Amino acid sequence: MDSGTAVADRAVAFPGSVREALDAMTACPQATLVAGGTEVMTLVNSGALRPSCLVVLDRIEELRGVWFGDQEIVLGSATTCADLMQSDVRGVLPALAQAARSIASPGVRSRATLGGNLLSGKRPGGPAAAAPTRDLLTVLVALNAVAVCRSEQGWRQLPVAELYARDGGVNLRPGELLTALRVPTCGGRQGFMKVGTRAGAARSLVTFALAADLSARTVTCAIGGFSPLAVRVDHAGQWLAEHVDWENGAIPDPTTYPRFARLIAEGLVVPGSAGPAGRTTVAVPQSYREQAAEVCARRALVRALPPAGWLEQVAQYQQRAEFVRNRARVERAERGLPPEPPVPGQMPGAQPPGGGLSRGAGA
Amino acid sequence: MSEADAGEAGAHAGAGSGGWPTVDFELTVNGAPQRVTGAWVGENLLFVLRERLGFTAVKDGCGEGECGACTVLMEGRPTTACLVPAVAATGLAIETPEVHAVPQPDPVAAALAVHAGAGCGFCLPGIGMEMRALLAHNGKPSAAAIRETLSGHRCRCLPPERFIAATRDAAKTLAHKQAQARAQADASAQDAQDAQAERELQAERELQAEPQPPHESPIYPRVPAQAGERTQPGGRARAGENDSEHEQAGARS
Amino acid sequence: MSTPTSLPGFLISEQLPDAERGAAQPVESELAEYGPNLTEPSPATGDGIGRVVPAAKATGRYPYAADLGAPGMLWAAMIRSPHARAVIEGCDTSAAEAMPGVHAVLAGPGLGVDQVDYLGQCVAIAAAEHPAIARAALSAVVIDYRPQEPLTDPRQAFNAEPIHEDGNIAAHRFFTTGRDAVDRVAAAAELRKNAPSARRAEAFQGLKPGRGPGAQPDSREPEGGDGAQAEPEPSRSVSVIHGYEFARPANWPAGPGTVFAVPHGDAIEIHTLTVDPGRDRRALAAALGRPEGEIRLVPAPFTGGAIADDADLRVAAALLAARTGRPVKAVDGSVGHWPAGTAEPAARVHAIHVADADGTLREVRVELVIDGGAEPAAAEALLDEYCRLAAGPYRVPKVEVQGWVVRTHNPPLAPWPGGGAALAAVVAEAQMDAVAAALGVSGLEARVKNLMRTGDRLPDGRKVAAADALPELVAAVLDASVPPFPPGPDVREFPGTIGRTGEMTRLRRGVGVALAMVDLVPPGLPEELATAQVALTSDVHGPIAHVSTAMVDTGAGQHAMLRRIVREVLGVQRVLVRRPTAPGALPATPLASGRAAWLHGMAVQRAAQAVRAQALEAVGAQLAISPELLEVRGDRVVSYDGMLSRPLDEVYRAALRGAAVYLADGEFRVRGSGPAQPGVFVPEPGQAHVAFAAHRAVVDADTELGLLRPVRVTAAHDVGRALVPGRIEAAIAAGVMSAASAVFADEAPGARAYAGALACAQLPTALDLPEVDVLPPVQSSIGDLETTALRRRGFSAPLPLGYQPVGRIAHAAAAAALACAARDALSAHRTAIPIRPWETGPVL
Repeated sequence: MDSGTAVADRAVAFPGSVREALDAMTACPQATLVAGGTEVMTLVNSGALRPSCLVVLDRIEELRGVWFGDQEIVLGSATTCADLMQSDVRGVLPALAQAARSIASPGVRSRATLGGNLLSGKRPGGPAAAAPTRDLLTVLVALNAVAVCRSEQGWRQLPVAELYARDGGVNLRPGELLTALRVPTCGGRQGFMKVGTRAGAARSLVTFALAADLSARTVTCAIGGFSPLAVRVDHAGQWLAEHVDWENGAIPDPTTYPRFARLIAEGLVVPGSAGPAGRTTVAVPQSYREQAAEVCARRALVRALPPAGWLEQVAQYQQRAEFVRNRARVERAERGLPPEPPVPGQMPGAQPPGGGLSRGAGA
Repeated sequence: MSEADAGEAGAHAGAGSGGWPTVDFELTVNGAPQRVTGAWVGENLLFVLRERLGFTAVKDGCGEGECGACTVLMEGRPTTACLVPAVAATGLAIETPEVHAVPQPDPVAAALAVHAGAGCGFCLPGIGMEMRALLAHNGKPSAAAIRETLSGHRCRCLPPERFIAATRDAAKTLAHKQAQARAQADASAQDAQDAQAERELQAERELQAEPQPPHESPIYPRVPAQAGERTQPGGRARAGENDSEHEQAGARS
Repeated sequence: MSTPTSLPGFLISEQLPDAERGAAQPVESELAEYGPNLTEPSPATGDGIGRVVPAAKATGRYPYAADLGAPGMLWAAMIRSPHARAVIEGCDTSAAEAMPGVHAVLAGPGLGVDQVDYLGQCVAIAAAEHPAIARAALSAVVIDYRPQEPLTDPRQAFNAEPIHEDGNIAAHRFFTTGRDAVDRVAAAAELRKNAPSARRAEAFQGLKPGRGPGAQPDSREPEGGDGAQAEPEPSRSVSVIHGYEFARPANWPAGPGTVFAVPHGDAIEIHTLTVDPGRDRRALAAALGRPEGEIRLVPAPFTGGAIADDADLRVAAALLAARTGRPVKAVDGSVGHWPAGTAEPAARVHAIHVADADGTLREVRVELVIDGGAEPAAAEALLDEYCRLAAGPYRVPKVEVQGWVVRTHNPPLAPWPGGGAALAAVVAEAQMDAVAAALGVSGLEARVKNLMRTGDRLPDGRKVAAADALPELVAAVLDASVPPFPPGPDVREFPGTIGRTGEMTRLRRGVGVALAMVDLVPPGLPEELATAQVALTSDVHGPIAHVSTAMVDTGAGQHAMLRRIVREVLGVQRVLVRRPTAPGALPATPLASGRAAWLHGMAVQRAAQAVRAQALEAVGAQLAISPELLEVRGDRVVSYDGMLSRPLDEVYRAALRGAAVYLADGEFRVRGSGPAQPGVFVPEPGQAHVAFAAHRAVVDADTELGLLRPVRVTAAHDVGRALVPGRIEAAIAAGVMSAASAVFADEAPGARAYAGALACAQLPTALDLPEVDVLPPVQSSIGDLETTALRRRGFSAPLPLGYQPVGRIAHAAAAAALACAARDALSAHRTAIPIRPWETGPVL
């Protein structure tokens, strides 16, 4: 057993490499694998899971980190969501960074891992649980990621969508580890959107990821959130490819946007009722999810591939808005007012004695 | 990262009586080693810190990572201790609110006491740790950034404006202290070099606080760059750099 | 483990832990701060809370119940019934008891539970040396359920078989004004406790949320009436009929709760959250079957989750402590303890508003059904309050209100945030907006035209004592600044925030103005009593006052208010507030929330006045004036007319020479109706003391996705009298936050399998909460009831101490304003609360 610190017995293992992790999993087949622990510990804290042996995966250097290659980017499966939000990743895979930012809270994001998000939920043969939403899966499906798995028998690479069974359960074999995700580099614009049950970090109702690759002249998009799986609507992307002005990265015909969105919504064949792992958990009508997917598709496409000639207008508009703001600032300074209208509730220093109310300054 | 079967433990059970394997390990809390013996393997870090080691400043609010009262700093990152298996925290630097209470409350705790002391106080230690991490990365957070950071914390007594005011207050105090420290450091040549490096780092941080990735702003799409643009090849993400959680969408900060 | 178990008998209200976490010593926090210089609390906190306690809280050294420990402590766990209605035929705890580390298991009949009456009823408890072992023991308990058919739809309760010997209808209220009021009431007396006509049940069956907005041109006959014909209405009037549904408030605590029970021989000491220790002690004694004297309830510092711990948790901890003879700590984490709740709305309201073409309200008819669950007695007060406020703060010539509380197999209704006032405000304000839309005028016009005036009648016939503040509140709220639109380029300011769906061209802003009212002393109120004791003495630093009160400080500044009262009356800066040593020493009846501060404040004021009279006896003799006519103003003792005075410190030096102690009791009673008596406050018959508030809410909506984001709530309140001004803003903000969660947070019932209860509740985070702008409050009651200057200024009789509730009415007004603003933003008259983005599809 490898660990840098004193661990008395075999109830826990700290493998330092994938090889050692596989050995530990062979030695104790019913071990609970823990990377970040954000899902496992919720179950343990409530008593639903009583681990007999823990294999802690977050010390394995090969699994944590992001490697940038010429052709592809390799994401270690134990990379935390906080790591995925860093500027390096954000510059190359902005959709993934945006998706990671929409998960839970900073306290959870510093532990929750990419692999944990992808593998959350039921494993074949495991206890019934969960209907997770797997937000990061949506992005990886849109980016044509390849999952790399390792077991005693060797390596296995498969498109990330094939990691799952039809009912949403995970298709990893016993004794197999998900080690990395390989994402081919794609230039151009990507975006991620999430419609949730509240504004802050929320359970997703619909997640949407879109990637427009200008050099390869493809647009791919994936929809998730309504079930544990993410769905790619390829025919919409193929249809769209003919309607894009690839040189300028714009779309000449404005009716393309609603038509594309309509294709997305119609292509959304929902495997929502196939088995316990596939059951949707929020009582939201399917029509709303379809409509939300359509709206997200249209908006994402507008941001990725704006209407031709719009950019100039937008640049002008930006200039004008900046001018108006500066002028307002100057006028306020002339009148002796603060440069920005005050926001209520902020205490401007010590309150007057006697406890004055912290009243936000009025108009 | 997948659940194992929740069955009876096999022959690999440790010292505990049938079904409750125990572990012994050592944690580094507030810089000092703490030995833990006979802990059940499934205990979370919160339970060990509170019940076995006596660090009761960390509060147990929900057990599912939603309320943020159990927030501690692990390797400088805010972490909900209720979701960390205690034994998995060996060798990582853990910081609890107690270390900022002696000899006297630090600027963040003092600011919270002044602005947010009017409630029940249960959320304060967790919010304090989160704000310390935020201010270490972002010296002048905007109101929206503070709200996003607070979105993992549950406070039922006071509105977020109190915590925004407290964070700004603490930021001012810390900036003042940094300026003082910098002024003292400038006295010697060696320190002058360090100050220069720190200023550069600060400038770089400010630069990085204004990213321009695509789709940041809903109404101002980025002017398209060259097709196929990507960042520098090779290299690995630097662990520990964590300025991305508090970015802005536009120029306004 | 930290401090030892039992705290010493004399518990100071605010206790600071010792640096070494040794024995918890009573620390005189006020003295530690003031020292010999007697300085005021730090001016930066106008909250009156000082510096020491907030610093302890901010550094995590403040001892909550969860931080207590003891040698030999055991951990408790509970499991709850997954069936709504079942008979427990037997249970087998042998496997659980055989597990090593388990000390006690009580299940089913062993716990006294033979019949399960509601989903989530506690059926088994266990105590073990580790919390995980306790939970595992409970999962090894085998309970034989024989499930029966539960009654979960409150609308079926009228026609269904009685599920209890008292019948399915637990309460009924009927109020009506108008010409034939007397006959109607007589007829309604027969309706009491009887199932209503089949037509009425059908009417509720047909209740669908979100029926078309605006007028109903096809029929003017309101449905669900009791057969009486409506009065002939003038032509071109408009009637607006809507049915509203309210989801039940969460049954599980939104935060932590820990009960710590320590046995001492026969007695049990229990540390728990409570605002009313006397009532909870009685309830606990009854549940345990022990005399009250053997139970000692120690209020623990509040943890922001709930007002009181779950009663089941207290009983569980106490029983296990008694059974095992060891200290027991029971933690009510929300993870995995409550089964998935029912999606049935807890309240359905059917409202009909009829108005003239020029906007004058003519008639209001309201019918409502409240699902009281398995213990509907608590919901009767909710129904009563709703029915008395059903028409809102508007003058309506004809009002008819009828409501029922029914019994079902759903969990008992948790205390409704904001009470009946919140329900009434949401419905009334929604109806006013609908009336305005039908007439083609703005909501503000419709409200201002019908605004209530002093002397107007409530639905139960009482006249409103003082409504003069209303126009001022409305004007103040309209004058306040509006947040800038459109929101900035920061994506977090758009609906959907970090979900990045925000699109400026699909953004609509909605503004809602709402008025709310709260009835302060309802006529049905039985006698409520509070007592206090004040002692004036001196020590080495000068005069000091000790106040003994049964009121618990939940962290919202109750004790700061009492200190302020005593400082004002006695002129002594150093005031210590303590809870009584002996349980039951200061009797107080169970006090409903909203009146506790008033009653205890009055009791303390009376006690302080009596002490003042005693201490100033010598001065009175000197000045030849009765000591009751002397007041303390500033640093002088002054006669009531201001003619004679003496310096205060001189007077006290003389009076308190030789460590003299002046001790007096104070008592204050309130009754809702009945003959006036000395020492009891009874409102004049036919008079209603009502508090008002006006809120304006601004909500942004994504018109295609239906996502909502509350931006700002501006609050204008009449607070009567601001004793601790810094606390008012916090109380109002807390009310606004709970209103935002009531209006926008939708529980995802099925998600319970995946996440814990707190994650399912989807309570609003800091990104979802609106900014709260509290305008300087109107203080309409300055002074005491005896002051004639008040009458001269035109204020009608305020309540003694100038009391007005703040938190509850803030919740009511904010909930109504947020709902109105959301409807405005979505351009749809949504009638189901919480407002969900996906109902009735998008609007453009």
